[in-house]
Amino acid sequence: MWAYRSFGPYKPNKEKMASMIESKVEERKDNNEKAVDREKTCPLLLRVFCSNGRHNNITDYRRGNTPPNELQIYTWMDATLKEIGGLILEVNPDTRRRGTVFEFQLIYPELTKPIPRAKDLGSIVIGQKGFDDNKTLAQIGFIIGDFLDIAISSPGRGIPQRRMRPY
Amino acid sequence: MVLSRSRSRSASSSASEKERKSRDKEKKPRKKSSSSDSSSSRSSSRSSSGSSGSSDSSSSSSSSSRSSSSSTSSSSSRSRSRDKENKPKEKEKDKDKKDDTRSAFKTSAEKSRSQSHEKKQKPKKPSKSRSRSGSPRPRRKPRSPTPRPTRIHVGRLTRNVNRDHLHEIFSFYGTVKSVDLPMYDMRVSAILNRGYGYIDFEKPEDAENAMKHMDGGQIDGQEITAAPVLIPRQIPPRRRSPLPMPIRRGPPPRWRSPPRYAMMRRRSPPPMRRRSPPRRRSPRSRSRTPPRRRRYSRSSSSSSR
Repeated sequence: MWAYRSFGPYKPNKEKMASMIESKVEERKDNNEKAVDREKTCPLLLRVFCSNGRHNNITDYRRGNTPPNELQIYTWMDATLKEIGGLILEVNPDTRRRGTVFEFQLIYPELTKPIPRAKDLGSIVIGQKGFDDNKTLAQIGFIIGDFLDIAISSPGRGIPQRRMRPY
Repeated sequence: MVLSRSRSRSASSSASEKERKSRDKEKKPRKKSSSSDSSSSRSSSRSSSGSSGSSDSSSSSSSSSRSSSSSTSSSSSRSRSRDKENKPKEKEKDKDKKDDTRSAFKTSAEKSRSQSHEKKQKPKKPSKSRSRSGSPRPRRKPRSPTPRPTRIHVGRLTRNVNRDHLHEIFSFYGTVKSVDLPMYDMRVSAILNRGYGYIDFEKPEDAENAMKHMDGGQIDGQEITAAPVLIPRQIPPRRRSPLPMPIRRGPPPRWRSPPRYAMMRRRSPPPMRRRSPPRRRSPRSRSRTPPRRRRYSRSSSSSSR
């Protein structure tokens, strides 16, 4: 890809744990400090695909295709997952129930392959505070043009299937 | 004209009909001095300039042509003269001839202005032809002003941007002739653009205006770059190929080419030329003798029987 992705925060080297942690903290601070001026910065187009229960199959994104249910959101790089989830709530009133879980996945294309790759970002729970609430698009390594795949699960299901929250 | 042409004819087959016609006129100048003849042949094989010093009659008309072609033909004439003469002595002879030509030119210079004009050019050329061959004809066109670009390179585009977007955005600044947004190969990805594009405007003012406004501007939330792109001109191909490329047998073809060219080629061919003649001679000598012997042997054998 012509944009560099840094997945540092998710793959720390144990030997350099201490330094990495420090650097991570610094990075996050830097990222937070770089608040995007929403008045002066042009918003970016974010294409979001929601599905009930499970995520959309990755093959749905093959060769530029997209799943049927698309939401187009104009936002900025400092938008958090919570913020995006809130926007979806406005559109889908069904999801407003407390305890609804939004699982986020980043869909980014791989240059040499027709099928893009999916990366788990975290999840948010409506009405509750979570760890991933304040993750911004910039922090997760989002590049303008990537998709977001959201799996909406009703409160009955509880903890998401695969995702293990870091303690 | 006269002298050089005739001699050049023998040296190479490039002699033209005009040169042959002038043979008659050449007779007189030939008698004057052999050295001058050789030297004149050196100066110009094709044009009349070579024999300018010696021939007075045709000086006026030919002088102009001589002066123009003298620079080019000097190298060629050299080569041809060498062909006739011995190689090891070529260097010396060249020098001698140069001196002779100079003296000859000096004497004839008084007679006609054209000759003097040639005289100025010729002595210089044989002596320092290599260094000064380029000077007499600079042929430097005044550089035309850089054309104002009508093409823009737009970089740092996001994946969401497509041709229609660019067309719509940049048509604000003027009429857009075409938009080029290169995509990745089909195998790699059918939908991904390469992150940059080219926009052709009708007028350069529009292009400049667009660059002024959009460079550092944002499209789809990402800052883009806009820079001018010079449309590549089709430069007429330089004639370098005819010189060294054609693989021909002997030196004469090579000798033809240098006149068109300048200094560079003069340096390289001379050594080639010097070497070539001996090769010619040896095979000729060899080829000649055997048949003779055979004839004698046959005759003798036949007679014996």
